[in-house]
Amino acid sequence: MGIEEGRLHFSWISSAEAGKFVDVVKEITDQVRQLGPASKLIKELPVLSDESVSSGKMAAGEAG
Amino acid sequence: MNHHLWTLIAQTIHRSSSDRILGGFHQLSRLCGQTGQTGQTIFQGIYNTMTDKMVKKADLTQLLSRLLEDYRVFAPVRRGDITNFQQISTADEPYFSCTNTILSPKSLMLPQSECMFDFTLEKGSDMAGIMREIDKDYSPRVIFGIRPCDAKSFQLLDLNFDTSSYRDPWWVRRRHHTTLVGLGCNVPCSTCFCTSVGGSPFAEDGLDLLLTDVGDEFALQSITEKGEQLLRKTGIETESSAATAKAVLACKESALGLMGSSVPTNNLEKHDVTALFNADFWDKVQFACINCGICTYVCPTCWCFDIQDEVRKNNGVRLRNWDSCMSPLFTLHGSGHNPRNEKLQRVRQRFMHKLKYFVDKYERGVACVGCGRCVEQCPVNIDIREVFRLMNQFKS
Amino acid sequence: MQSYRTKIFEIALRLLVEKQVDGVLGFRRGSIPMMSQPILISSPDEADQLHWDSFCSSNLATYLPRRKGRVAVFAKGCDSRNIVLQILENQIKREQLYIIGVPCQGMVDRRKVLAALDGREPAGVSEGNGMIRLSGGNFKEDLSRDEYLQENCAICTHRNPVIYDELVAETTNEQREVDRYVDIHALEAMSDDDRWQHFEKILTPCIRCYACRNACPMCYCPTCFVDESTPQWLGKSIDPTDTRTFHFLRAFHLAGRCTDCGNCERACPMGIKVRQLTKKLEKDIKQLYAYEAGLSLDEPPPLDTYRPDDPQEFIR
Repeated sequence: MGIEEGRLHFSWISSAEAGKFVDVVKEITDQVRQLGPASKLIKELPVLSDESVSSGKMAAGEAG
Repeated sequence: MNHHLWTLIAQTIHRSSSDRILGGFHQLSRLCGQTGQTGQTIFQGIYNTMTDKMVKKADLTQLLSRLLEDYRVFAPVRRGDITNFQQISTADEPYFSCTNTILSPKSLMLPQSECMFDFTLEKGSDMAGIMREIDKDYSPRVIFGIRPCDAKSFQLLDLNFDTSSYRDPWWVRRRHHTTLVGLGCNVPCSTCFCTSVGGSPFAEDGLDLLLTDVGDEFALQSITEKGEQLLRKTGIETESSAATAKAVLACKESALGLMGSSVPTNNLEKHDVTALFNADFWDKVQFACINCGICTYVCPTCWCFDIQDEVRKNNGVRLRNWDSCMSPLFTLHGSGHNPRNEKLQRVRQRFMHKLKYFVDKYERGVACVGCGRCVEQCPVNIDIREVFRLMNQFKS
Repeated sequence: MQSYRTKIFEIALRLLVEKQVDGVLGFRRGSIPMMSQPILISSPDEADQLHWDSFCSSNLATYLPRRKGRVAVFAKGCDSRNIVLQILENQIKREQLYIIGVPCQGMVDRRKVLAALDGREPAGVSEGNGMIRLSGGNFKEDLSRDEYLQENCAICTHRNPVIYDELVAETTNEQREVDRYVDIHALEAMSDDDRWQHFEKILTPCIRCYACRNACPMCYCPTCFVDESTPQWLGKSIDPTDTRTFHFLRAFHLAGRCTDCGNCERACPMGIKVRQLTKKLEKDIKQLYAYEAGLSLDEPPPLDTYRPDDPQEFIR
């Protein structure tokens, strides 16, 4: 998809593993902080104010 | 034939040779018989040969560049295999070789997604608690190269968005600030049937200016004051010659002869609506449908929309999106009841609306301009032309 | 594949006359060139409407979930695998189906042919000897069938039905020397930003018509995640983030279930290459679980099953 590595993590932690939970959360927080603000797949309020964003907009590039 | 028609014929006799008239009458009576439409619209499409100016094809980019100085210009554009109307920034972008684009230019008047209002609850903001209409660009625009069927569709949509009781402010303002420069269809597609539903490949309904491709040149015919204004802005001076006028007439006649399909509509009005609703044929019609919504999105006369708010923390927008009666959600009530829970009900609804309820309510014919896009794009080949036939020849 | 027509007619007639099924789910000739229309016939005198050619590409399994009664259905290789999955997922019972297997040599891509004709509209289409013959107002064009196959058909490795009650013809040879993931390898080699831009370009024309979803035989949820409202998962506008989310989330829902039948790309009016998402997941599932969707009724999908040795290097 193109979202940079380090943003998505998986872990299996039992409710009895409080220590592990703390460690994993600290680690992920540090990693993500280092990556900085995310720029991809961020949902903002739509700015769709006029018809220049018409339906079926085609990406710029190769013309027919 | 009515008085108006005779007047048109008389005017034409002064401009054309007699054997063209004869040929025209044969065309006219054949089409009237076939379609039950009055000769007037068809006749107008053939014989209003009042061409004003002409421009060589090689000079078209110059014309467009001139327009780009004064207007925002929208035209059919091609990327790969997709054709669609988009705003152009340079004169070489338009693509006129498709008879019609995949998507209709409906989104230029009724955008697929449009934010209408915004609101905030931010403490300290002087707009807090106020729903504010979002400013939009209503500077003059041109839709260049729109086909007569799509121009007519705007008139049909006017019946919904610009009435004596309700005027959709965004729709009305966009219509007002837009000049429609049409391009007549020299070679209609095999799926076109505009002449069966009150249109024609060179019809002027809804257009401000009409272009006809006569080989090396375009003939430019102004139809309204808006069209005249635009023509003046282009700076095109060359008057069209008698030869151009003849060529235009030839194009128009040839196009009529090449019309791809026809559908019968003469009985739709007289059928009893309940009997038609309960007809047996709906079961066969609906089977293949996968309720995707392509037909409603490519259709120039489908107008349904859904309004929703999207919020993020203390700010929000109210936006309008196209909606589709093909979706099961379309008629889902807050109570949980859904009157059109079954696919048959939804498929029947769409065709009954366009070909019967609309006919009865507005007395302007069907809510279809015969562009053929739904026929071309439906992934399971549900063909509205077949439904026209089934509905028209229905016997209760 | 023209010869299939006679056999199809025979089988359908027999099944309906003997009342072995309530209906036969097949195709009839389309109303425009190079199209076919799915139909359900229920009486023997309708059997002659059934048709088969290189444009019978729709996946008829789309019409099966939650169907009542007993129905015969024509199934190509990919279709039959979808039927297997639908049975495993309890959307239809095996006893309800009489599967008429159709060994397939690939379906022709209508849009590719139209692009080759470059604006010339075909009036007549016929097939024979590996050629598609097109004719129109003032032209005739012969195209080699193999060069105009749908993209998924060109790389298909399961052309023969995996489940059937009767076959329409002898099984056909399978393509063995095919690398299904050439384009996926190229995508995987790209940098994050390049890949992001690549999908941006692919998904920009999406008009959220949901044809891909509705055409898919595996998308049968009574309420799709895009239609949920309490809570609402994603916006309904053509906002690029919402659009991208719809596509890749749908692809994830198909992981281990997609048979690459191509119905999605075929239905899309904007020609969006949605299979680039689903094929990546197909590849991952194959590598992680050595599983191909819907090959056998005895093999439940890996994401429905727990095994102690399931790969889990990505879990910390």
